[in-house]
Amino acid sequence: MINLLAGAFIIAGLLFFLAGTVGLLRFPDIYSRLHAVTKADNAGLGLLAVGIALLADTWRLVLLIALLWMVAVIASSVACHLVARHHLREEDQG
Amino acid sequence: MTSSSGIAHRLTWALTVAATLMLLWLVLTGGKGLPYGLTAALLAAAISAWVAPGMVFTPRPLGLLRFVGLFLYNSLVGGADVGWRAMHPAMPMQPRWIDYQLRLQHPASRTLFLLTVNLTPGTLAANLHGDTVRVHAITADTAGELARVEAAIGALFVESNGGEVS
Repeated sequence: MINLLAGAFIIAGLLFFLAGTVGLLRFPDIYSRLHAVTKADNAGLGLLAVGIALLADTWRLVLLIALLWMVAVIASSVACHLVARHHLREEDQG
Repeated sequence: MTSSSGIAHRLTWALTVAATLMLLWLVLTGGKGLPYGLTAALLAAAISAWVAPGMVFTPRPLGLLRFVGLFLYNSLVGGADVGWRAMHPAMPMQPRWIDYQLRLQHPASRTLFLLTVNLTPGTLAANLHGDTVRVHAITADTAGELARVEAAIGALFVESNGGEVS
């Protein structure tokens, strides 16, 4: 039962990654692409983390997975902001 | 800042850093090599308090609950929304720029706002200039989303009047 539930979360997470990558390839400009990569991958990694946490044996592992998600989310959001700001400033200059 | 409040401030900071690092060590190692972890945590806390003491924020419990709830909800809806737009044959989007007037004053609140906005459905914070946030939007109801995030962060911390904490 728990395996099925974990599997559902993991598959849902992978679908988010797929959608984010499709957005990265299809969207017309850099800002829209950042929307796709940042948001879809954040949700995808979160669902993936929940799925793996359901299969974890110890609470320490669950905490580690949660920590991993948090660090990844902060990093991706910071990166998204910096890429957008850099491009915006370059546009303003040129 | 008087020297006594300076010392109290540094001590609070050192204790918070030490406790956080110790907790991190416990989660990462599962309790192995505790003496090393304790030494490193105390040393790092002392150096941090000496070189660059920061402010400790204590979030309000209800505010924290509200913010975490909004953050998780926004993450899921934001990912689903942009994923749906990417997979849709016509890619329905209304890309445009919005200048949002930010009322949050404290740098920590502002950073949290920028980071959360990037994961909120349809919004992306590209620049902060003065009190104005340049937001790139791809959905319709963007101002409502931004106001909701700002309200949740405002309820999270007790903002001191006028903002800047000395």
